[in-house]
Amino acid sequence: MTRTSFAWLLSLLVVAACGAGGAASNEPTSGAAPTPGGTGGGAGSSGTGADAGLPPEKEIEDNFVSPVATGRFVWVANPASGRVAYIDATSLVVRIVEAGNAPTHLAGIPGSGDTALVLNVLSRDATLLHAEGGALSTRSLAVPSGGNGWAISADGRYAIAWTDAARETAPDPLDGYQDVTVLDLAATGAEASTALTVGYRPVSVSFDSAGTRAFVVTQDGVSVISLTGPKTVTKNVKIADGAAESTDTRDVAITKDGAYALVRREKTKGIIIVSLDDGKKTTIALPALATDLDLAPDGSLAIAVLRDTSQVALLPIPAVLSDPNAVKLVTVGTGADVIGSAVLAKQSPVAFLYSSAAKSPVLTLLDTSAPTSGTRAILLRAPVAGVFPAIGAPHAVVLHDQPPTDANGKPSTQYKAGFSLVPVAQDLPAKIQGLASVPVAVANSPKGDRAIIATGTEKAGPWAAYVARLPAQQIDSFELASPPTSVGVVPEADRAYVAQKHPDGRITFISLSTGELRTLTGFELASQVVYGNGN
Amino acid sequence: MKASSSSAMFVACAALIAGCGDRPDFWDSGTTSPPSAVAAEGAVAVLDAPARRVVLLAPEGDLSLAATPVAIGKGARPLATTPDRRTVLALTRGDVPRRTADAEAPALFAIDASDGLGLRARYPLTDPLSGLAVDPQGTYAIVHAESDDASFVSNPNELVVVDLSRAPSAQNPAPLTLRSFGGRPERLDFTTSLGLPGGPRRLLVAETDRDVALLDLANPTSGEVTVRLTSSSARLTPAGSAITDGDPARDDDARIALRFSGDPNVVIIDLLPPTEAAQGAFRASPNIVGLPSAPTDIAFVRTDGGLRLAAVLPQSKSLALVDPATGTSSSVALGDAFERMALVTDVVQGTNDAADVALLWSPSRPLVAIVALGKTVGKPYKSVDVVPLETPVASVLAVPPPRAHLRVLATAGGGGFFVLDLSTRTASPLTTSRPGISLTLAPDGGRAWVHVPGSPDLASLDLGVLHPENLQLTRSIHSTYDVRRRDGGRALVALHAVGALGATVLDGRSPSLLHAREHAGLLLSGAP
Repeated sequence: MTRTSFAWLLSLLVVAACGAGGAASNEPTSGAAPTPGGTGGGAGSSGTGADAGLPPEKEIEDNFVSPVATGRFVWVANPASGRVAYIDATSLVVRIVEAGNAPTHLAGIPGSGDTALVLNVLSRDATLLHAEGGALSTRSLAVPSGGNGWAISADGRYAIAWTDAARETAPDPLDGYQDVTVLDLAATGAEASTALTVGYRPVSVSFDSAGTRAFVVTQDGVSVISLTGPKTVTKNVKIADGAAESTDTRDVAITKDGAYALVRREKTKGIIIVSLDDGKKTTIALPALATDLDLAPDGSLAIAVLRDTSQVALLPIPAVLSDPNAVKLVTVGTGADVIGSAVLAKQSPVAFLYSSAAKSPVLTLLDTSAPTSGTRAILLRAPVAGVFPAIGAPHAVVLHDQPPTDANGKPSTQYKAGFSLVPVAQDLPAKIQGLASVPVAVANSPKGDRAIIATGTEKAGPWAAYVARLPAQQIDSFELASPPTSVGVVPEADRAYVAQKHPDGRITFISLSTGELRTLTGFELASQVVYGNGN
Repeated sequence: MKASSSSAMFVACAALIAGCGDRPDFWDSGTTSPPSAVAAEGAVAVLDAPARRVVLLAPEGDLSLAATPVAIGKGARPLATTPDRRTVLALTRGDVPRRTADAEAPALFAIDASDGLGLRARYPLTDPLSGLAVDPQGTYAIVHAESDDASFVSNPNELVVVDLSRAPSAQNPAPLTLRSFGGRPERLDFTTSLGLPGGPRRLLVAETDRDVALLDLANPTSGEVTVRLTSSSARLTPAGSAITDGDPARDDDARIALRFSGDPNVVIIDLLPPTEAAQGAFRASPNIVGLPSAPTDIAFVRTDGGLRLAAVLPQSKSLALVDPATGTSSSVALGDAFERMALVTDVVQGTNDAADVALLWSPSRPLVAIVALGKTVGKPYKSVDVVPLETPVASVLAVPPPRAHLRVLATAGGGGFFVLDLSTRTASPLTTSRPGISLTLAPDGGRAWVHVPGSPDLASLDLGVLHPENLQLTRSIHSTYDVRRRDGGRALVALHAVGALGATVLDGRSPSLLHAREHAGLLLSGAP
């Protein structure tokens, strides 16, 4: 499942339930909006102005929160009341549980049924919530570091609370946000919570697939945390050549086995692969500056986009380390098509190539498993702003954050944005839908048969949700009563949800089979209904 | 005009009895003036509280009044009737405090005021409560505490549910105490039959300043559902409700909407299938709907887009149509600040079968509007027809069939009224020479009666041709009642608050002073 949201929810953070979501290690920790010129960098934007006149590529996909599966519940925190509401998406029953002081940042725990972890920012602790059989159990764990997000290991055993500076308002340069807390959810007592210090200004946190190490990418390098035995920072692997080198825009990806960090540099025609064991750097030479670097979800392939030469470099991992000639260069289209960004789908070899900087309406598909078989260029009717492929890539939702222009370059007056449904498995035309307001959140159902797009911001409506039926490409729209903040799918309940900004909490559930809507507003009231004989 | 001879005979008897030594307490009890009276189907029911009785005054074909006294208890509260006017209800507090074993207990008396006149049932009560709410369908009555029920310790959440369709028994009446988050009932509403899981049910909706209790009227002691209405400490003032059964074929889409005075939020409670046994027959799911300003009236309406909650917003001169499933709303611009609303779909040719038609008015603006909620291109409504008037409308009275297409619009100052024809959308003004009029509609839809309390002036308005016939009685009128005569005709009974109560009876359908009969000493009827 893919569930995304532009906005980090400060007061309400919804974590969706989804059985097929898989690993949750990148849960809402990467949801902050990019800070142009800021110090965060990695999560939000990437790329360079490789050729004259084009700005850096922007990957809005990485700005969307990726909610985490908890089975059948949607969890909503209320920092003001100190409570967390959990909504059974099947029955839409709302219940409330007391958490700590100002519960704010939620994450689902994979592999543990309906389990969520909430960070209580004022009491500097976390509450582990587990719903089962109509009962809810809670456990409190110390989080001395505080933080504004979680990273959860794929097996659900470890959770790391950390602070992404990009989500903080005007952080002081002396605010390094170097404190993190590692929670071992399988441990008890003092071993369950460990406070550690990492490098300056963390930008991302990830785990190796074995669950033995965690990696915190910072402006000082990659802090490696050992999860076996006492939790300690075992090393800091530098990825910059010198202390004075800027690290703000560095694009760093960690391989699944935790062996390497792949680094894209702004002014170097190549990809640097850093061994996290010994710090050794290997530079893979490329014919042009890379404007984007992405690692396939299974970690077997890295893809670098060379905008200046309209080429894609495919780097098989780890073969490219021992054989630099293993790099495959693929020229996209005729060579005149502008590509600057790549998106890789889960469980699919298809790469989606486009350029948000060039405002190009062309989306190019490349089968990375058969790169010599050619590419498929699809002309969409508006500039591509982001691509959200379904799992397995039977289709993709493409967002257009600005209207198309006519032959005279005049933008549409009727629409402010749009989205396209792009069939991938079948070579069929894409369907475009004009939008009266900009899209703010996108989700694909795990089965790939539905997509949900929410539109409208607090300042600029109208607010609406669109449910696309796929592969038929039928689109149903629903007006919303308040600004949407995130969307998701709860497969067990056969429902999608649209969380909205509302002082009392609001969420709209949409039946994926019937289209029936049900909006819940005022979670705390809904949880305080009393039944039975009062006499 | 003839004077009643029976009255004179009663006076003579009274004088005779008075001269015979010991006499019943009746003669020392005095009478209550002005009288408390209600119009029943076949009689005027007058409360004779000092004599602990209700006197049913049934008009005969010759315009005489047959008086039938019905004994009730002590401490009677003002009378009430069921909406079909077949039953008169008298709530008595009994002896307060009850110091002896034979002291009288409080009770609710149900008096047949239709075919057979007399006591039908006495429902004993455990506590001397003063409030009485009557089911619009006439099946239930709720006895409840009122703010003036002063006791050393009292429980304002005590209610007694009386099933008027059943005889008194150990289970009827059913006393209970509503669960509360700290409030006390301020409004009681009865739902129509709602399609709920497990079968249709009627609910009592008891609103407090912070919560609402939903009670199954057919099984009141099974326990209520209590829904909190606000998380804040601010108190709410319940101001109105709207209820819908939704799709009759479904049992999971009934809803109750509640509004509050001066509050822009409306709470819509979805009545859903239970998810666990402890929830009983249904589950209540409240949702808050925020509106731009405080609504002054709400109603569930059918539109082309489906069910909507219509909310009258005088501040924005609009009607908000809220989708209860999503909370989204669209706005119908009304052009003026209306405050009240009533659905008139049944008597107005709507835009199509799926859309309702609403009548809107305001006690501060001289106009009414008829809003057709069908949909046309680009608008969430079909039309808004405004009918200007000379004065604002204080209340709207629905004329019974066969003239259900008419509404009588009582003006704010009581200096006249309008007869609104919904089919032609015309409003005919009727003026009066003095303000403060009181209007009475005949249950057969034929007439409106107009009088000024304390004046002998009376007028009958034929609602078919809008012809007024002015009638001046010999005594000041306290109140008027249009009731069925025993011969099947209609009679207008004008009560005069003089002596032991007087009345003038006119032929309802052909009112004439020539044939009217005057009666005196009516509360001496049936004297022991």
